Amino acid sequence: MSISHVDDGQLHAYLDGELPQAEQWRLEAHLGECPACRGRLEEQRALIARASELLALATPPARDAPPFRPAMAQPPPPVRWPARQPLAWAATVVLALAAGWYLRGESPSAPVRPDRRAAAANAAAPRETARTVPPSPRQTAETKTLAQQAPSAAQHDQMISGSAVPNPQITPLDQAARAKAAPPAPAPAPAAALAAPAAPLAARWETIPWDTARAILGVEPVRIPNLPAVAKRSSAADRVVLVEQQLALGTVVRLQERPAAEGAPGMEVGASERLARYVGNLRVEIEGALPADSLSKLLELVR
Amino acid sequence: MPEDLAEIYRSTFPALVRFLYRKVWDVERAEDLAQEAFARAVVHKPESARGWLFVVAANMARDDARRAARERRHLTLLKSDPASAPAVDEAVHAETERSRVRTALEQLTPRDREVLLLWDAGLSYDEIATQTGLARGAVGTTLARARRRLVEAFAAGEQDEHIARG
Repeated sequence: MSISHVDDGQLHAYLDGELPQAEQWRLEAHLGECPACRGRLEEQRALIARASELLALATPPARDAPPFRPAMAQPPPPVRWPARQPLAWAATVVLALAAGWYLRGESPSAPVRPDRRAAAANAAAPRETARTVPPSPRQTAETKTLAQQAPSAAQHDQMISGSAVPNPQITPLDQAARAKAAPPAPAPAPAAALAAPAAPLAARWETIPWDTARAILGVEPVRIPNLPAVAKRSSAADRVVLVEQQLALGTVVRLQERPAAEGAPGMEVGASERLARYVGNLRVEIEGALPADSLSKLLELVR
Repeated sequence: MPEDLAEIYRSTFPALVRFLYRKVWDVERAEDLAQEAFARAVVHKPESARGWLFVVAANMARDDARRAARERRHLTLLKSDPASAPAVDEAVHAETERSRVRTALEQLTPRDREVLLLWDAGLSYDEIATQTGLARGAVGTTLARARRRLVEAFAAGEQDEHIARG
């Protein structure tokens, strides 16, 4: 019975507590009368300990598991904010964002198809822009360009702005140029900066109705449910929708979103001082007076 | 949604992240993949969810590695917070150790590595056998070999570095 020694595999299974009962008895009987195998048992025990130790070195920093996504199917419970617990609301921002994504998929308002979207933008945008900001020829022209993509409007646009952009259609390149031209860049500024002179960053965004925001994105804009929200955009031609929501006094979550096909919004000039993260197609910024460590922890969580 | 899946999520998510981390070596990516694996489990409702999760996660990590070269990290922290940066020395040391273990792990055969990581993630011999197609009796042998190679490869790596430093 104890003539055949045990092999390493059996010893490991034994030490792992995975040896079937019968084999375990047999092995223990053998160990009882075989010092060589007892020695090997101790060697293997040390080996297992060392291997676990090494694997533990390659362990990611311990973090809490994010909320289980399917649990989002139920409406989020009403949230009561304990005072001065930034991390508690940080977790809820994550939850709420996830819920926002989920609920959007269930939204009763069907996604606007691209062709309808242009028409809707055309109908809604100029009226609403006029209400919130002083209308400028430049802006009207931009609206037309977006809504109609018509060569005549584009030409008009070019004439007014004096821009030498060869392709008047709104392209990512154009948007990039616009971003570069944003204040306070002293460099020769094409397009937007000429007609729309340097405005402070905060004032650059104009409030738009939700219908317009929906029309731009083709879907319901992501936002945290049960929290007042304002939709904004920087100009009629810019297809980034900004949703601002105040979490607490002085703490604002800003969610920037573009139509799904166009990827995540880029970084605007001057925004590098803010903390931002991307959640898929969504750019998330948080502004507010929070302890530095909770801000970075929040950003860890908001994904 | 099956109730027990939520329970499995609670008990298994950290292990799954750890398992994935040792494949993609990026904690955020690992968490994303783990989430994705669970999302798929919700759809597929596999019989033995735990083992299934690890296999799906392993496949996703493999696909992810292929994509990694082409794809930028999708999360960007535009400005890191200097106040919360950990002590540099400690971080560098931990990083060195981590990359040594990584190098050592990469010297194992894929099968040995897989079995070792699955065991470390908390799967039983039975679960490992089911998910890898190994005979149950071969799991112990595979683990014995994987552990020995890991320890040897790590030690060899350390020695090389000492020689290199003089």
